[in-house]
Amino acid sequence: MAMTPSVVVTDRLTDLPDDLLVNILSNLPTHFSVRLSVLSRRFRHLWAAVPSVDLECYERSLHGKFKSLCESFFAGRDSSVALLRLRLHCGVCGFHSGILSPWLSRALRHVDLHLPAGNILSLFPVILRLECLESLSISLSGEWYARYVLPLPVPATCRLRRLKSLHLYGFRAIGELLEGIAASCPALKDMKLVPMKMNSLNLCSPSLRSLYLDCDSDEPLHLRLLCPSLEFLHFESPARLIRHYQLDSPALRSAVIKFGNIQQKHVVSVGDVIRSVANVSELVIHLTESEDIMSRPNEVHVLVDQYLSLPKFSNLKHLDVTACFIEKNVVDLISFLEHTPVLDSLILTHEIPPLCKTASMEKNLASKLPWSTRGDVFASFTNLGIENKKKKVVKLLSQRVKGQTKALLFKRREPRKLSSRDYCKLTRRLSL
Amino acid sequence: METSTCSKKIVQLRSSDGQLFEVDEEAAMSSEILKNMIEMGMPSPLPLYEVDATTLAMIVESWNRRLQEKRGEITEAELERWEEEELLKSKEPDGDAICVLLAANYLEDEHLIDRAGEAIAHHIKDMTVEEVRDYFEIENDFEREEEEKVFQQNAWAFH
Repeated sequence: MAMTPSVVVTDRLTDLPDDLLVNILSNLPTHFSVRLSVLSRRFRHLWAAVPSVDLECYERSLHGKFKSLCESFFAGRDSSVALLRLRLHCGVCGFHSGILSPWLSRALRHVDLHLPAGNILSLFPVILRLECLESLSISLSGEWYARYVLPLPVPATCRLRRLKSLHLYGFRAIGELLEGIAASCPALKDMKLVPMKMNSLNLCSPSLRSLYLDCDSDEPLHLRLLCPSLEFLHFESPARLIRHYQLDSPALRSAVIKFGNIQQKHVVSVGDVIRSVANVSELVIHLTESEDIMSRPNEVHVLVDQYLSLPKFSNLKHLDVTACFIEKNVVDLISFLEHTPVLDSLILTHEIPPLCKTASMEKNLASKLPWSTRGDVFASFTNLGIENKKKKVVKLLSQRVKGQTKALLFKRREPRKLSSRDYCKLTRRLSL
Repeated sequence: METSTCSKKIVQLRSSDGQLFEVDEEAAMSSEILKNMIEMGMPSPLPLYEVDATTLAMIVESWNRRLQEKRGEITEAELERWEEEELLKSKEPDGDAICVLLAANYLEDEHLIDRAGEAIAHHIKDMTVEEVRDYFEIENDFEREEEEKVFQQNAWAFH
């Protein structure tokens, strides 16, 4: 086990062969691995053999230098070593498209681009034919208004048969494109979409395990997710009507649901989404109600739909709810808890909706969560599975709820008889 | 090779300093070298001349965890956390990550080679060139003019 002391110059990397050193360098930003060329003779040319490029520039004033940096780098690179990873983030201006396309070698496995729309449009058809690609992340840079006028071309041939991970930021109306991609990528496991103005998404992917959707629009959305292997769902959006909603994911384990600026007309859709994830074991809900609802808080129930009963969340162990915990939401939360037989931990955070932070509204929107050492804007409970602990927590939660509402809480709920008004609402909702 | 009652095959490995380790055959298949040895029917214990006991213990543990992840007993996130915290903490001068990298290379374990490479890169990425030199104890064997020349050629990377 003793190292031979007769070796003249040893350092900690002597025993590492060059290709392992190159492996280490391939995880570093390109300019960094080039700087290491001054370390020693051994390092002088290693950077040129690194099969990855990681270059970024976010400052307008440095853009000219950045362009020449990229050109120097490619000139000095050993072109016989195929590029496997490309990360190029240029937040400022674009490149001449002739410069960029040679960089897209056929062997590329990981591509991460942050470029202006013009560059992305011209590169996209080439990217779709990179057969070895395993992960793809594209985000649009440039003036914000440009993002709203760029629809991507629908791919005629998409050969990304090994693609596992797809992240797209800032593209407009890409529902159709995504449907096409999902259909041609049998290995797709993870998708993260931050789309602009997407009105319809019909996603069928037998392999997809994780979907992150962060929308910006409050226009109605047609949403169908037929992903039988889906385990994780993150859905974030300003509140909107969701039509033809279908989520077919028996394997779902964990979900995050965030709706902002919820108005009365949105309540049905919020309820649909929450009910659709009843099989998860971890659930994070973040609901921000609109000023309109908050000005007449007891009329509209958001957390628990008053017309359809909640399903049982039979696997739910961890629940995290952020909402404006005025009385009605505490009461609704307690009803929710009745449907969580195996719940183990509960985290509650009180948040006043940003648009309701006027002096007059704020005092009516004070938290009714139980007091603790951290005040009353946060409450956290664990080990709810232990005997009677859950009952004690419910009792604690109901302490600050006023008398009449309390009586309602503990009264056994009979199914409501539908009035003609309720009936009209239901039929309208079912015909959507 | 013994067969336990659960019909899981065990292989025995011997480190460079003579210590014996037992591991599931399925777990050991993470290493191309061991896979070949097992398929060729080499007798136990399989000798690993270039991996010492401390490193081999860590590597065997990592194979076991990877097997657990494959079987769904632990999540991918838990596996990654263990790898970062236990396996690849390279803050020590002894350099766990470097030892693991060398051993993984010898054993031809692609996953571990990549993870160890990432860990070392992560550790040095915020260092200056001089700090990297000290960390790896690299001696500067450039002549003064040569070093200047290299610096000029790659000046664009220093801005």
